[in-house]
Amino acid sequence: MTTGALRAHQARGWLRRNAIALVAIIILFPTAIAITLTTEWGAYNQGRATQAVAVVMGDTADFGGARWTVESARTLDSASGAGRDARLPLGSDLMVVTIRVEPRPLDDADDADDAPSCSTQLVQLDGSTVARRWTDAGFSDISWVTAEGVETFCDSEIRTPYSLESLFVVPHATTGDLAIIVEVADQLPRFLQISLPL
Amino acid sequence: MSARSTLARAVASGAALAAILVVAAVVAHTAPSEEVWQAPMVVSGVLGERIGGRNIEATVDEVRVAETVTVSTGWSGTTSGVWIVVDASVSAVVDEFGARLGTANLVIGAATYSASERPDLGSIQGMGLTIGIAQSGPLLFEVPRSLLSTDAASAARIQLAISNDPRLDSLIVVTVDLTSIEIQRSIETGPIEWGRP
Repeated sequence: MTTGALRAHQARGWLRRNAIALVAIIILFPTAIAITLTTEWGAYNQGRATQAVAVVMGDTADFGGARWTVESARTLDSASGAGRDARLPLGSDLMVVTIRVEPRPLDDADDADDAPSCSTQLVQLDGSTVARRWTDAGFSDISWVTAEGVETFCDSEIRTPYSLESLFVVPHATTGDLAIIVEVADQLPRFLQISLPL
Repeated sequence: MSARSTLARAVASGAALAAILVVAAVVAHTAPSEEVWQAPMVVSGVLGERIGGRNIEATVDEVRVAETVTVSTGWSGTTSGVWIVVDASVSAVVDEFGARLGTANLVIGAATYSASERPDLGSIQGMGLTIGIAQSGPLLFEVPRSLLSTDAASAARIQLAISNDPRLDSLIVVTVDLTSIEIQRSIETGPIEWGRP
């Protein structure tokens, strides 16, 4: 047997002796990486609003233990009389979005006595991604008086239907693919996305 | 196997090991440190220029120096040093969630001064920011008077960022020459304006 043939024979022997270990490495190494990434990414993803339940304004959506309907969405120009009365910043519009909330018992019996507590945001979409995101301006330095009987936040104590008013101060003439986002903490990563015809 | 070939294999193995160690040393010494790869992304500009970052847009309009300052809320600050008064306009760009002027620093040489919280609502330090609608007003920095005559003061840097931890995000930087600014006895700052045209 030549030296080359001897080396090839030795190599094949080594591969045969270690075949099980080599196969185990080939399978287990990527599996370990995949499990680690899946676990880490999954935990990260569970706390973020990534799965939209999308409806359009006027539609009613069952989500997070309540029925949600955007009743109206209107804008107020800062240059208008009402805008000046509201002390809106120059060059802005106030977007007033009214949502009908009809709480229903949640599936989970432990939470059956609580209506959903939520947060609302206004987003401008670019395809499926969020291009800009506004938070509720209820605590901003403006003079806006919400009508009596209309709530300004999701009150988990209210078990009867009510109207929820969200305010957003946006640059004047903001247009595009706008939507209201409703997040209920225990529903994440699902969230409600209601497209606005503005 | 001959002694010659055994020696040759040992030499080759040693050379390969040495090469691997050299490569590892080069990689270790040239790889960016954590401080570098997490560093803020600096966006530089000059006085009066509108400077945009990922989620912050700012204009530094004017820099003044005074011994005492009275802000729009009526608060008046005295100091054993001097006040550097920076008038700026700042807004968010894409996201209002958690958007506030969390970083407002004045860097002179190796010293970093944060904007004073003493004026409270008379300053835009820490103020919540809205998309495209600027908050305009003063930032006050309390610094030793002796620092103004140093070389470092001729290239002081104003740093602005959207949170108090600007790592891996935009950091707006405006360089100013503090040595060329006359020290005034007192300054009254204007009101904070939201949505200045």
